[in-house]
Amino acid sequence: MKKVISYFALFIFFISFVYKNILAENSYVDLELVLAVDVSSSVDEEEYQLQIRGVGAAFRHPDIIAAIESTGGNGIAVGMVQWSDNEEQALVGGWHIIKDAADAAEYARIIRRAPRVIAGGQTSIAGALIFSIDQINNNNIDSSRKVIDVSGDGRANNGVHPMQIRDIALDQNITINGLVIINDEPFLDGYYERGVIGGRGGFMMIAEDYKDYAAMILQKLLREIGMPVS
Amino acid sequence: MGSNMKIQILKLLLIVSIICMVFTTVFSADYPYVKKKAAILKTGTYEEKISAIQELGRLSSNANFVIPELIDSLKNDESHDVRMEIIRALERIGGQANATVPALIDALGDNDWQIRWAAAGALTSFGKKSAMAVPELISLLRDKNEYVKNAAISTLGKMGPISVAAMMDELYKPVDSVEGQLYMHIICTRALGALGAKSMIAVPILVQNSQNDNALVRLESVIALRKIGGDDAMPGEIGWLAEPDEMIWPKGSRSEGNFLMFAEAKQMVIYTIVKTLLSSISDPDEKVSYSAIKGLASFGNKALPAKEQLISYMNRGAPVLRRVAIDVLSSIGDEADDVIPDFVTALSDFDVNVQWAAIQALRIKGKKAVPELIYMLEYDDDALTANILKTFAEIGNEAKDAIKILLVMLQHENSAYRSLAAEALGEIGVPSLSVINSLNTLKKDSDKNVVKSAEWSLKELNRILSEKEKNT
Repeated sequence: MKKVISYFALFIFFISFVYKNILAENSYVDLELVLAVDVSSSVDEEEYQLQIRGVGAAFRHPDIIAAIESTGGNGIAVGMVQWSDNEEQALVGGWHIIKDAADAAEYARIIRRAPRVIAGGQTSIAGALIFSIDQINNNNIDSSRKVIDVSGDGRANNGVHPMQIRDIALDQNITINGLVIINDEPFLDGYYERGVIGGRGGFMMIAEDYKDYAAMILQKLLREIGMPVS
Repeated sequence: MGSNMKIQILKLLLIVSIICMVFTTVFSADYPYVKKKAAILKTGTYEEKISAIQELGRLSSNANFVIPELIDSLKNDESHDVRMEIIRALERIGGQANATVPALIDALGDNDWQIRWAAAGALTSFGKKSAMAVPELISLLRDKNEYVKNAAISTLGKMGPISVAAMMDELYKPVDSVEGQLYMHIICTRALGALGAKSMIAVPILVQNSQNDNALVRLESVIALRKIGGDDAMPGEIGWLAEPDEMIWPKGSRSEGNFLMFAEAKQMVIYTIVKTLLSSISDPDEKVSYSAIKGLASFGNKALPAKEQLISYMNRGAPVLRRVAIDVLSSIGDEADDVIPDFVTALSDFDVNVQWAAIQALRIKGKKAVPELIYMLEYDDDALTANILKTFAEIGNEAKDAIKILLVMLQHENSAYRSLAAEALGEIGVPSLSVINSLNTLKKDSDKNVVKSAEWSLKELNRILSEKEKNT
């Protein structure tokens, strides 16, 4: 009986070894991108729709598809995070590896239908960054570039200052880019510039309101995906 | 109520009181402990001081009674870091405004820019209680350091009506009166805009400035006007009336029976703002013109007088003007339904952002847009077809009337059209036999994208079917 148990244990060990080292090997992509979308109380339903439909439309744009296809077959990995206060973040629709037009269209469909899983709340940019870093670190995907693309329409009024978490991200070679919607706070761009964005090639874009979101996210994604791979 | 019942209630109250006492004792910071931490400010090393101040900040209002000690150290400690930490702690404790606010005002005049910056930011926590800091914050807008200026304007912008009058003063000064006045003018205008309806009293000067010789002044004034007019919480709403200490709105108007006057005043203000925006559409500067058009989107059918002008921009303006003109026309409502054919034409615009604005405008129109889209789809125009199909997907279930033509499009020789038509059928969500059969046929399509679209739509339709079955 002891022998049977030993063989069985050895078999389990072998299977787990094979799974861990061969079958579950991390995928490699050129870029891991988190799209961190603000769903705090300041964002109403129509504004939410403009955001997700804007992201969906961008992933159908021929220039975006060309940029993805130019990554030489590795493609990019994208995940959308919805966030509001320090305790409220969610990865919506999971991580997707996009290599061609069909993958991009599939992702566009998923995002356009993405439900708003967080009803509202205060604004914790730090919370969004911590969650996004964690998603990047635990997605079983490797890449040479990791970017958190955080968009929002307000300063943090909850959680620690985003500057503290930005430094953690930068230590892990994660770049933070910003898309600032200045319809409520006209000086928000300065706040993002000083306290949120950073890292290799980090940049920020400004949308006057949510109606500009689609145009801006398209430009932003082009710049993020299209950056030369080092 | 019986005596037994009373005894039970009293017992319950006793238990609750005991629990409250236990919790208060356990969780409140005790007086000797806080005092001990405060004492470190005098005698501790640099590290001890920083740690003690951070601890006091974390205690929040429980450290209220050591505010005098913190203020004393803020004035006298020689270490920059210690003073910075004290300001942060005072901000978090947020108490004794009569002592803390004057101390922070003193700090606004400090030689160290970081101290000025931190103090300006910390005043935000005191709301209206920091009213006495307004003159100093206004002077700080002329500070040499950008961070300090930004912190000051940000705090002013969050103070509400108490800072409006002070910022308006800056707008009355000619932009070339002193060096830097243009900058002052612009940031004060922006802050007034950010305050929304609370800056309503500034509308006349902003209207005047919308005609200024300086294009930047005109631009910022137009943006501020559209933010003030677009703020739903105009005076007359409960929020405004509930703040009797805010003296911006004339006192007499708050008297009984004057509620109607608020509504009328609101209409008058909106009328004035819309009139100004309509006039600024023709501004020689494209940015001003763009902002004026964009502003009209906040006023719904009040932008109707500009309809013809907007259609003209939609067809002939620069791409950004075309896009924003579509946004405004889509916000006008039923009275601009006759613009639907123009929106459909805009789907073939060479600028992708204009195309997207048209798709969204047609989504807002919903069912009313479907006949025109079907009509144009029959032309099989290369520049239009893909975007018409995308629009059906965006409209969703209200585009049911398009199912017949979409089934035809599933046979189109262009694989991109087949894929978009399949996806639109999934978004419309009518799981009829003909739709499901046609989509099943596409699963054998030679194009991977078409197959994926068909599979996605079938999955969606099956979900709808199983939900229906569950409900029945």
